[in-house]
Amino acid sequence: MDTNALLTSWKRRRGPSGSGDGQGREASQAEGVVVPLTMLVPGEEAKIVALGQGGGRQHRFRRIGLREGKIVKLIATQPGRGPIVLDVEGTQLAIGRGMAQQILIQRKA
Amino acid sequence: MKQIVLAGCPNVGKSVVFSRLTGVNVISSNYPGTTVDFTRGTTVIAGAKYELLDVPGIYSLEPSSKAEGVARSMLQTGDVVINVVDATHLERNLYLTLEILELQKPTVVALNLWDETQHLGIELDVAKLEQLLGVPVVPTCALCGTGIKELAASAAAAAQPSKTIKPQTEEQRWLKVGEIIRDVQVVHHRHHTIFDRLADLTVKPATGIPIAILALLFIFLFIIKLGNAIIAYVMDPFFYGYYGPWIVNAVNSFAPSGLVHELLIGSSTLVNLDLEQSLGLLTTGLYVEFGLVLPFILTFYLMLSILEDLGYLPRLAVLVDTGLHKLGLHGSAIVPTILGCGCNVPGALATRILESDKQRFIAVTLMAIAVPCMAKSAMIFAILGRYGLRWILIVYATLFLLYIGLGLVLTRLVKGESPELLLEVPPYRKPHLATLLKKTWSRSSGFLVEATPFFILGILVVNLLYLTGGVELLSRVFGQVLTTVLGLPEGAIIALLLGILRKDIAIGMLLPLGMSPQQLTVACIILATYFPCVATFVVMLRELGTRGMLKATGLMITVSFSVGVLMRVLLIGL
Repeated sequence: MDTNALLTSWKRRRGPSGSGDGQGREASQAEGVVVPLTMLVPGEEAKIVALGQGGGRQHRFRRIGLREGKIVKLIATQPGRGPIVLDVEGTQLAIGRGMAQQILIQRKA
Repeated sequence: MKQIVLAGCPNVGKSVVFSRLTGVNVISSNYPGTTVDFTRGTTVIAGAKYELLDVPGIYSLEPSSKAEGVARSMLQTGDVVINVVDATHLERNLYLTLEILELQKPTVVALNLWDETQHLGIELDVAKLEQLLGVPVVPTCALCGTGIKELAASAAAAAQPSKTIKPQTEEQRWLKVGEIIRDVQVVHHRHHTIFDRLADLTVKPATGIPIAILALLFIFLFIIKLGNAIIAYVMDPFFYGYYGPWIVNAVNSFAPSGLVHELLIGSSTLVNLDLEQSLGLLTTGLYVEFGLVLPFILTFYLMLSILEDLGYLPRLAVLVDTGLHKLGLHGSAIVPTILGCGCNVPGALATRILESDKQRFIAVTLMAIAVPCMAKSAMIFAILGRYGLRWILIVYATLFLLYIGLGLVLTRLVKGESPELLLEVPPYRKPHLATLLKKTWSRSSGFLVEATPFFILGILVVNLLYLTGGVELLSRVFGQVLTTVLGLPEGAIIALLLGILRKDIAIGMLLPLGMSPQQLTVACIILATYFPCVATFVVMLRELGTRGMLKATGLMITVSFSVGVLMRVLLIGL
């Protein structure tokens, strides 16, 4: 599963001192598990810590409102590997499962 | 003439601002991607004339779909830019604002949906924002008209590009967005409204899917019932009670017989007034278009406008995404498909919101084959409805199965990518009655303007074919295939031929042939699928290119013929 690769690469980038990108440092303070966005259950809130790989994709995520440090809430998961619906600061976004798997979030402890 | 370009993220109300500034009616809706092509208009501000361009919504200046490519090139040619921003989602809009300001063109920022910020507990410091961006910022409410005059004045006066915003990297831009938001925005807590709860209920699968099925079924039946009611209580009394006798008298007074008489009113007489089959321009021509088709067009566009302005379509897109993925599409394709149920022309244009060529090809081809426009549907309702709802349902079930079956095949045959859904789902908004009626009327009158020339041409062609004996010739040539293979009378060839011009008169041509409901059903299915009308053909050719269109055409003819034969065997027997 390439999600695992993502997770390890994210941990490696942050290093022991937690020197990732600017938003990552904030994330390391609240002790929560880092998992792909698809692991959330409806109603659960979490903080985005990484947007996966590929500049183009990251860019698409950011401009639609999905950015590192943002709090997201899962509203619904469509059956049959369908898209998931999120609430990001009062706006609902629908995002395909494959893309959602690329986004890493930190669960609330 | 100076050019003002209106740019902004999707669904921030650019088109409403445009309508306000120019007085030109543009279709706007509560979902991203209503405008897929730019619209031009002119306006006079303080005595000087300006050209205004309304461009498709974009999230950034790096284009990822065809519509965004259009927007980018428009921005580069304009003299002044009005950047329309959703004040309730300033943070997500600012990235594009910075990109636009970095183009170093004179710019004005319109903080649209200003009235909603108060309900949402959002406080914005406009003066501070103006100072940070280095360009005028005008709060507006395009729907109610507030701030539009000020916006126009600022745009006319704008001469300087921003001095505070200079070209920067993507990362710097995001940091800047963060800084600005920290300085100008305060968000207070607010309570959930009934719309918020409805928003959740309609995207959660357990409640959303049943709601969607019920809603669509209700809308389908409502359109049939209301359309039929308008025909029975308004159109028929008018056409048969007043217009028909009057026009027959009027034409008889100067052309009691002969070619002109035939062309104008056909076989209708005062005693035997038959507006459906007499084939005159002023009898059948007007009656079919206004009396039979228009009532359904009106009801369809009214329902569509309600769904659009409420904001339901993006939610439907989310619910059908899984299913449409199996057909090589994604959820957003539901919007062009539903528009196509009104008319395939705007439907095909709206496929531009899809990202890949593969998706666009599949969406357009499936639409041309299996999504009947309202003119087609109206005639199917009118002709098959008299034998019972069952026959209508057979036609629609066949088309639905075709849509799915063909999609399953096409996604495997067509090369290319089928990207995943990434869609902003706007909040529900209460539709405004005046806007709804205006939109319904603007689309319906658009239909009349587009359809009328082809309609008249169609009636003329039929008359010509009858007068010159072309009908007999064609029947002799193609009759064999029609009767033996498809089980239809020879005369049906005339309907197939006219179907290339317009589907509604083509289906009307089936009436005088005295067919059984089974035959009519087969004929309606063939007419719906075999080839698009000329208007759709032109748009398809433009959207798919010659090669794509050739492939699509081959597919249509093959599929239509095969399904026709299959349905003949199933319904009529061998």
